[in-house]
Amino acid sequence: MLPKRFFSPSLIILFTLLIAIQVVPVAIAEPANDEEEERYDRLREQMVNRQIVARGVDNRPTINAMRSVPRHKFVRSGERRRAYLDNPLPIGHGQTISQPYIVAYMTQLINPEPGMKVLEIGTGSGYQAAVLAEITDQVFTIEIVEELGEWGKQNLRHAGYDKVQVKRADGYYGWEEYAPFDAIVVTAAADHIPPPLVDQLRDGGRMVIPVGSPFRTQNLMLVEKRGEDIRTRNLMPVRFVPFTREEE
Amino acid sequence: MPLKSRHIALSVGITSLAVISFQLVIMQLLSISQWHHFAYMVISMAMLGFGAAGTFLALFREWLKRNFDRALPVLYLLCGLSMALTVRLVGIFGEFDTFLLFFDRSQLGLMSFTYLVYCLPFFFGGLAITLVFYYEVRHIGMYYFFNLAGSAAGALVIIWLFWIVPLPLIPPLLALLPLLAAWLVRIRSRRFTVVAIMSLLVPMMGLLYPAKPVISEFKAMYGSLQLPDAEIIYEESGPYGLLQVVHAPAQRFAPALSLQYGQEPPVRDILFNNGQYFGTLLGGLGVNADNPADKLDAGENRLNGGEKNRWNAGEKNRLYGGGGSGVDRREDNASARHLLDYATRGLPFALRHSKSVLVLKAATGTDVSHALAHDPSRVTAVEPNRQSNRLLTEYHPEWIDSLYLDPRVSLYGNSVRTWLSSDPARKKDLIVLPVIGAFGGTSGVHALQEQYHLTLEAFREMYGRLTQEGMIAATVWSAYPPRESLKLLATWRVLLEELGENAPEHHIMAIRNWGTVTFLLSRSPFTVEEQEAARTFSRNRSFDPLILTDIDPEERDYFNIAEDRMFFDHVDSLLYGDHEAFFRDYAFNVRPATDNRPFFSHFMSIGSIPVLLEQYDVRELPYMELGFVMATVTLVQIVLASVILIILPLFRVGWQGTRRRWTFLYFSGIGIGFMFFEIVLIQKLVLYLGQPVYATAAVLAALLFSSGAGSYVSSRFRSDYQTLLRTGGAIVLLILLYAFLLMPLLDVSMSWPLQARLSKVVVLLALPAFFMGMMFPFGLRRLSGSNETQIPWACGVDSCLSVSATALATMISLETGFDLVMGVAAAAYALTTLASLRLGDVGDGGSN
Repeated sequence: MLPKRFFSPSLIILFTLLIAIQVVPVAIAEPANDEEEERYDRLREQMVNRQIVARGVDNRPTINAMRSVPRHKFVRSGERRRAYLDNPLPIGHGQTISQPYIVAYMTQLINPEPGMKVLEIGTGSGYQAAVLAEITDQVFTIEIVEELGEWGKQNLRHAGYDKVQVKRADGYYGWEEYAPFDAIVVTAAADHIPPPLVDQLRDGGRMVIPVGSPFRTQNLMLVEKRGEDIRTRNLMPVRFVPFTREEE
Repeated sequence: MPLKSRHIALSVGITSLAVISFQLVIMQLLSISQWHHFAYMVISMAMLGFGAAGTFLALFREWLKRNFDRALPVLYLLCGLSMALTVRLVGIFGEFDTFLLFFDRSQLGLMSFTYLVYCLPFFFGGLAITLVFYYEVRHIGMYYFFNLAGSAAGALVIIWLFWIVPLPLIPPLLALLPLLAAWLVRIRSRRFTVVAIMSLLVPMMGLLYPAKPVISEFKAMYGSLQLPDAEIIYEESGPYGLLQVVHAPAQRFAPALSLQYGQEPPVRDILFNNGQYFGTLLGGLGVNADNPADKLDAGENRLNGGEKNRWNAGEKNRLYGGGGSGVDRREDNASARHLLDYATRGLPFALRHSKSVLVLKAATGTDVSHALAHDPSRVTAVEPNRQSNRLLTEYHPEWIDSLYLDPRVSLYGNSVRTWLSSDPARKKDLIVLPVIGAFGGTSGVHALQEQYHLTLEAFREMYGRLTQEGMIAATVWSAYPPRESLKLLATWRVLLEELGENAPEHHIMAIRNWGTVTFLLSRSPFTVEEQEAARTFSRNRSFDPLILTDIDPEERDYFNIAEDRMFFDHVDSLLYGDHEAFFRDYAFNVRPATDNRPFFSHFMSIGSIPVLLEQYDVRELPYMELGFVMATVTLVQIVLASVILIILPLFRVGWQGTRRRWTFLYFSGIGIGFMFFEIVLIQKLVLYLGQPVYATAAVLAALLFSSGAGSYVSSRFRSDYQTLLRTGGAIVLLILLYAFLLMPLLDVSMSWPLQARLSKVVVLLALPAFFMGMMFPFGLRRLSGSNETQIPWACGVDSCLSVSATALATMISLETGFDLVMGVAAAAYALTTLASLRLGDVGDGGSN
């Protein structure tokens, strides 16, 4: 028989807390009920109208995709209620899930169409791949960070995007096996443009690369390949206004 | 049994030593886990622990005075224990991250907890020392001397500790000192002995199991460590920071390389300092490693692919007069000897053969490697970080293929300005600056950093060091909105104007690609042939010319198209137009940085916020210039906390005390004046002495020790009106004299040996610091005669205002420069002097 003092109030509180610590995250991770899903649908609709269409994204497949992908399934469990806000969210490992508008703008830049073969470098949460997968069945995504790759893959599967092919590898080399690609989206940019990616881009294809810090995309770089001629285009993710004051 | 005064004095000295050393080690630890602006923010708030100590003493002075013998050792024990535990305690609820502050509300809680934890050692240490001042006010001169002398010793001891003790071991080691202080003033009781011995176990555990700083996931090194099979292969801490070398098979060196470079860039290890990128260990890789001409030919074939390249061939011919001719290619190939010849940084080597090259802030020698590939007779590398120099010349020279040991290379461990001011007869054909900015921007984390190598005065000295055909080369990472590149151009334009060159476009050349812009400043005008060579170099690599005398606007973004072409207009405005008008009208501060305001990476101002809000979300704005935003946040927090800490005791001790407002003015003047003077002196003398780490320690030690000596001598004088007026007047006069004469006095001896310069600094500092050290004990002694209850409050006011002053001085320096800070220091002491006329009474009645 256990001694009486073993059941002291402080121990009971301690064990309750320990159990709570184990149980609470599971409870949070439980799938949202219908009511919650409806609320997320409304938030998503608002996101598309206020953050994306209002800012000039007009590519129909992109808008439809943004309307369909449940973004809250691609963020960390603690961030779900902020999933549809107009900002990026941290996903760990120094990475973020981009602001919805940036995802839409990048998607629009590659002129997505059904049947296109698209490669994404930097799976992250899997959200960008899911948006692309709403438009085309041929989406390939590569993640170099093992934990992120696993998590992104899991998110894609849970959200029903089974056709997206996920690989954990060094994105520098692209995915030779499925090349050439009609478009490449580099969501985790380095300070150089890997030649293998340029090589794996189909003639006339487009590669889009966001440039900036995790919480501020300062511009988007579009690499266009026409034959052997390769050019880059610096695009502003924002409505640019003059930084010099009007002359009086 | 009453405590012996020499034991108390020694305990004050030891604790002061530990506290100042602890402050510096915490700064270092926070700079590793976060950025230095966060370290500055936390430490400023933590230092408010001293202010809180004054407030606490004001509230509970009777009890503490009654129990002085017991309270003092207990406070020392608590100070030591908290020092040993802070680093471990601070992360128990999760790590705070500056980068997440504006996106994650829970970070606010973590930030407050961080402040609180770091505050504890300063609070307990400060409370013990203030209690001694209050209890032994008759001997304040001696105790204040021990306080300042201990602090001075702490500034020096920590540098020595940084060299010999691994960083995580230093906090528990320092924690032993307050425990020693507690033992010196111990109570003769068994219980205390047991508690003291038990307390020893805490730092001992810290020494056995040291807590390492957890690096922010938004720092460069964290990113490297995320790569597969990444590992830290070398680690060494020292006064310059924590050097770590990361090896990862997917870590490539190809900064903004041309799209025409078809090879796989080399995989190289990276050296990080405090978790930030310091340099790639490139070594000789790329120096004629294989046939570079083949690489370029391969690249050119991609571009000039004959039949394949039909797209816009006509347009290209129109712009470039027929495209790369055979002659062009041959000439260009001769210059393509190094990997970096495929970056915009290769331009100076494509134009002229530079026999004598100076590489500033050479870091791991990538630019030295680049220069060596172009057959120079001499490469001079200047890198002030002696720790990394030692690593790459003595411990592991093989990591950079012994570049720094090459007979053609001379490596100097001085600051850029010290080197430039020494022996001006040594002229250079090419001066290469370190790359400015970073890919994707730096989020303004360097806004508070002084960059004396990028000021107008620095460029004037560099220009003076050029041969007739010499050039300065600077590469800037592109950023949007454009700032760094415009400030650099503005600096060169103003410099040329000063030198009487009215056609700057003849002396400045620039090219750009998708990631960087390289600017050249030549002493002699660029020739037509050189301009054509720049075109050829650019065309062969898909770069675009940005500044040439005969530039066609369409050539500027042929390969790298800019949606917002305003950058080109800005460049033209700075080059050809009224640059003063541009400085006035541009939303960011792109005026040249000067030695008085050496913050090259500070661009934001309150005025730019409305323009930025038209484009960016309010939450994005902090990431434009995190350093500036954090400095502002720090100032607001400290002022608010200080106001609370100063007002709080008044609820207990009453609002209507005798001449309270004069006490406030007197001690706030001392707090502000001393810190403002100290901050400006450190800045100016660091530039003079050339070694930031040692210079700061030396200046701090000399200043504190001289002040301590002043404090000690003050006890020989009556603290009457005349003495206070004379001392205060002398301080104001000296500060004003130093504001005008210090730099000219220093300039004449810039080329002296370090020891001679150091001696001069000590002599120059001694006099004002000596007088400044007298004012605090004079003030307390006056209060002891008539307003003794105000003493703890006065100590609190001094501490709170000192801490607020550090934050305020930073903001004033950023906005207007150091001269005004010096002016405010003089004004603050003038206020103190005037306030002394109504402060308390002559307490001690004369000398001791």
